This record gives sequence, structure tokens and C-alpha cells, in this order.
Amino acid sequence: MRNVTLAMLGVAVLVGWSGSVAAQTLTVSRWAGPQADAQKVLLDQYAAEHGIEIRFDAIDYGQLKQKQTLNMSTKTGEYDLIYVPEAWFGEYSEAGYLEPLTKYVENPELTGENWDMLDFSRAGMDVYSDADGALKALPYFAQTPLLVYNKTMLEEAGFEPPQTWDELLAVAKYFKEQGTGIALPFRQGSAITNVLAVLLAGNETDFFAADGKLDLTNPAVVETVNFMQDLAQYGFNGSNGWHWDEVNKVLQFGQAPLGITASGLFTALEDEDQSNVAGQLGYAPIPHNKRVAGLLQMWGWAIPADSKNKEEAFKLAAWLTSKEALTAMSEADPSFISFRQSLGSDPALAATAPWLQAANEALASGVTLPLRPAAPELLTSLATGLSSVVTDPNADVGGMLSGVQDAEAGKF
Amino acid sequence: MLAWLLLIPAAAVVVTVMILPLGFALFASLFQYSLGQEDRMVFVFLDNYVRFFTDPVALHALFNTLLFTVLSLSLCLAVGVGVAVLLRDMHRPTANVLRAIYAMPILISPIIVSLIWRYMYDPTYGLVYWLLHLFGLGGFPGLTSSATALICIVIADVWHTAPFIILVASAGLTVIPEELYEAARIDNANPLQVLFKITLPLLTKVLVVLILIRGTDAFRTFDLIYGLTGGGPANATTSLSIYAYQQAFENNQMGYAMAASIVTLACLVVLFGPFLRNSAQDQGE
Repeated sequence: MRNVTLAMLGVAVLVGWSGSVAAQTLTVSRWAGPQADAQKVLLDQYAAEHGIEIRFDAIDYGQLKQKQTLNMSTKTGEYDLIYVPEAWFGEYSEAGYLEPLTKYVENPELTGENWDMLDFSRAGMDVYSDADGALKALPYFAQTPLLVYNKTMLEEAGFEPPQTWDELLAVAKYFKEQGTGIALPFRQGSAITNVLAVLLAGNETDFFAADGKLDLTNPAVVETVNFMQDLAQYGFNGSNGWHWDEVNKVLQFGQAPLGITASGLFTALEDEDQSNVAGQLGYAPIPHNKRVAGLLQMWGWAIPADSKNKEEAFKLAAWLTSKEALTAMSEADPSFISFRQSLGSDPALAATAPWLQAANEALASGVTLPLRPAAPELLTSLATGLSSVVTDPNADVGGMLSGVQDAEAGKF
Repeated sequence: MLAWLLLIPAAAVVVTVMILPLGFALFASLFQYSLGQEDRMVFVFLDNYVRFFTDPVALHALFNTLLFTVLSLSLCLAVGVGVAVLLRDMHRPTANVLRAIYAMPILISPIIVSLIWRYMYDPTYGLVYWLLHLFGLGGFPGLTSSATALICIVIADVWHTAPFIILVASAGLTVIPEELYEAARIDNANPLQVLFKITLPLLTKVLVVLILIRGTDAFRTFDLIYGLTGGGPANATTSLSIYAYQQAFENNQMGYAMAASIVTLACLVVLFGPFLRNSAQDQGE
């Protein structure tokens, strides 16, 4: 009898051991950006509740696309869930890297009972659907560049928060003459083209004409870039070499009276441990010439077609995009703005995120960056051209735009 | 026969890890394709190379790379050899401590160096601007002007890599016979005469190796530029490596990026091949 008991115990230990070895492992790839820490806490919670292991591969934005692309193009099966911005989605989708999610979102066993797909904003669902309408990522996080201003400094100088281009130039010029100026993310790179996209929409124009052809030489585009060149002259010293994070830094240290930065970084501005001006800042859509505008910069969760754990990965994606998990993310990091419409007006969340109203206003009339296949080349060329005109007040804006138009028009 | 057989493993490794990837890069540079779409590669023969040599941005990147290499290499050698010579004549324990201190920057990875220098060049907090303000030069545009950004990067690169020159040159100086310096002192030679008549001629082989190592490194610099300026402003600091990276991973044009990389390799062979050949001949002699 003792031998039988020992044998059963042995079998039980072996089964238990093999069970633990076989515990499913999901690998999640994301940007090590502002919300990565809060995300890790949520993923650990999910792993503990569901008895799985989650490897969290959070890396620098600059390397993320390269790493994701290399893994998916060589079909390593390394990743089960990837964090994808709208700018890369078309390329990934066209290359066949992403699993269509239609059959998963219609399966309540995978989504959970209270997962309400209709609660997602239409804009997010549209961006993450391919040309045939197949959903290939769940929209998750939205951000837009906004104007941040120091209410105290503006009040002392006798200014109202600027809403139009002329008002913004007047405020920036005043503070430049006082030795500071407006903090701008005008380094050659993605931020400067993001600002351009918002300003173009605010001037009721676009990179493209109504027929879909590139149209950088139209007068409204030239006027918009001329405005950027003028604004740069009143930029905080060094602004022409800055990305979002450096703009945030001078705002949170109370050195810049106003600046343009991305809403995804705002938590640090209102955190008393990190900011000298917490509670003193105001937020508004980037001033416009004709109408309020914002930029729909978004991240969503997609399942690589080469994942070996697609259903488990989708369950995790559905949980991450559930109201409960999104609320937890926003509570942990108030700069997290989700695509669930029901959370956009949540008073509890708005209390910890004073920018929410401005962000919602900007996102409601938000545009996306060009998403067509040749868009990255266009944006690279524009970033270079914009960098040349904001660093040189005498540079010929029309000539720069004509040059980019000539070089890129054939690709659209 | 046995000797040839014994060579096979090493030759196989060389072919597998060096020749084959290089051959693939050369092959891929004749195609137009995106990463992950290798099954849809379009043969374009030399079009990517024609495009490179007719693209003003690519040619500007080539020019920037050459300028960066010349400036960085010259300054590195001047600073590195100069400091090594000064340390040689110092009280030994002091020189050892200083050498260890000077060597610290080479322990830091280039991307961290770029972060350090971004703060150094910050107009508000940066040490560089604090010093410039002391001399009334606070208006220096630094990384934000296309006229000065490249030289700012060169300075950061020299800070990072000159210690390597100091260490290697210091090692090279130890093999120069002390008697030569004694004879020079007896002949009342001044320090410059000692430097140009004794030290540098006897350091020639070391300098050739240093030029090879540092020159090729400078020509391929990526991290430092990427971290400091990302190639801007207005492409003023875009190097060939940055350009190839942008084409591959931002514009998704792998074939063209391969062509840019092959051009980089060809430039390296043309510029530094003679040094390699001379160094090999010296070994043969």
C-alpha cells in the first residue's frame, strides 16, 4: 500500500511538474514608452489570474519597428501580441504579418461577456481595418499633440491662452523677448511632421488634393509651413533640436511658459514629484487658423500571423481592451487615453487628467498622418525640409515644398 | 594535404559568416524589395546604385561621412597621441592614475555617450553652454544649426574615442628605446624636434593601425549621430549609416539600403585599403 501511495505521489509530482513546464507563455512586444510600467503591472496581474507566463519585451521606439519586422518577416513566431501604431499598420497588414481578428471578436468565449465592441470609437476601428474591412488590431491608446501653457506665467503677462495662429505668435514673441519662448519639438524627425499635420488640418488643408495626388505646393500648405517658420523664430533656445521629451522637460521644470507636446507624456507634467508646475498648467488644442484640429496617433494590439498562441493572445488583447483594464491603465497613468467612448467622459478619470477635455476636443476632429505605402518616404523628406526652414528664417519655404513635391509626387 | 584539410574549418567559418552575407548584400542590392517581401523581389540591376549617385541626399550623406571621418580621425589622433606623449614624460604613478581616468569614456556605449552629450549641449542646462556663456559665446547654435551640428558631434566622438588612441599610443611609446630620448636631450633637441624626429617616426606602425581602426569606425558611425541629432538639422549630420538605416527601416526599401551599404563598404576599401596593404607588407618584411 505504501508503495502504491508513493507511486501515486510520484506520478502526481511528475504531472504537476510537466503541467508547470507546459504553462503557456505569451510574448508581448511593445514600446518602452510612458505607459510601459503600468502595462507591466496589468500583464503580471493577468498572468497570475490565468496561470500563464507573459514575457514583456518593451524596447525603445527607435528599435521597435525593426525588431517586430525582423521577427514577423522571418516568421520566428517569437511574438504573440504586438503593439502597433497606426503608421506601421498598413505596411504590416499589406505584408501579411497580421492575423485578421474578425472571427475572434465575434466569439464571446474569447472576448468575455461584457466586452462591448461597439463602445470603441469608429475612427480607431477604421484605421485598424484593412482595405477589405477586416479588423486586424484592437485600438488601444490614443494621443495627440496639444498646446501646454503655464497659466500663471500667461496671466502675469496679460495673455489669454492662445487659440489662433496670430495669438500664438504674439504670445511666443513676447516670451522670446523675455528670454524664453515657446518650446517646440522641431528636431528633424517624426514630431515636426506630426505638428505639421495638425496645423494643416487646422488650416483646412492636407498633404493631398481631393483627387489623392500629393499637393504640397498649394497656397494653404505654403502658408502653414510659413507659420511654422515664423513660430520657430520665437522658439525656446534649442527647440529646433528637440523631440517631445525635451519639450516636456522644460515645461515640467517651469522654464518654458508654453510648448507643444504629446498628450501621452502629460502625466509627468502633473506629478508633483516630477514637476515644478503641477497644477499650474493649462491644456488646449494646438492653435488653428480656420478650425480646431488634432492628430489621431494611436496604438493598437495585433496578433502576428506567425504566433503559435493566437487564441490565448487574443484573449489577452480582449482583456487589455476591456473597460476594467483600460480604466486601471488610466488610473495608473492618467495620460493614457483609450478608444472606449464610455471612458472619454468618465468624471473620475477626468479629475486626474486635466488635459482630457482638450485631448477629446482635438481627437474628435483628429486626422491621421498619411497611411499610404509611400508615406514614410514623404514624411522623411518633409521632416528634412521642415528642419531646414525652421532652422533658417531666410530659407525659402515655397522652394522647399516644391522640392519635396517634385521628389515624392510620383510615388502617390 | 593535411595542412589544407586543417584549414577547411576556419575557411568554412570565414565563408559562412563573412563572404556569404556580403555576397547576399551585393545580390540584394540589385533588387527592389521590402523587408519580409523577399518572395516579391524585383530585379532592377544597377538602378539602386544609379539612384544613389543621383540622389542629392545620398551624396550629401557621403560628404558628411567623409568630413566627419577626416575631422574626427585628425582630432582623435592629435589629442590621443598628444596626451599619450605628455603622460609618458610624467611622474609614473600620476600618469597611471590619469591614464585610467582618461580611459573611462571608452567603457561607455555610444548611445549613452549621445545621451550624455545631448545634455552637455542643452542650451539651458548644458555644461558646454555654461562654459560658452563665461566667454560671452552663449549664442552658439550647437546641435540646432546645420552649420555647427556636425562639429558638435565630432567633439563628442573625440571625447569618446580619444582614450582608445591614448591607451594604444601609450603602449606603442613603451617600446621606443629610452636611449634615443637621452641622446636627444644631450643634443638639446626641443620637444617638437623630439616629437617629429623620434616619437612619431617610431610610432608609425601603431599609427597606421590606429588610423585603420578609428578611421573605419568613424566612417561607420551610427549610434552617436542617431542619438544626438537623428541626422538633422536639414540632413546636416546624416551619415551613410544613418541614411542606409532610414532607407531600410523607415522607408522600407531594403534593396536600396543594401546598395547604400555596399557603397559604404567600397568607400572604406578605397580609403583604408592602402593602409591595410602597407601594414601587411610591413609584416611580410
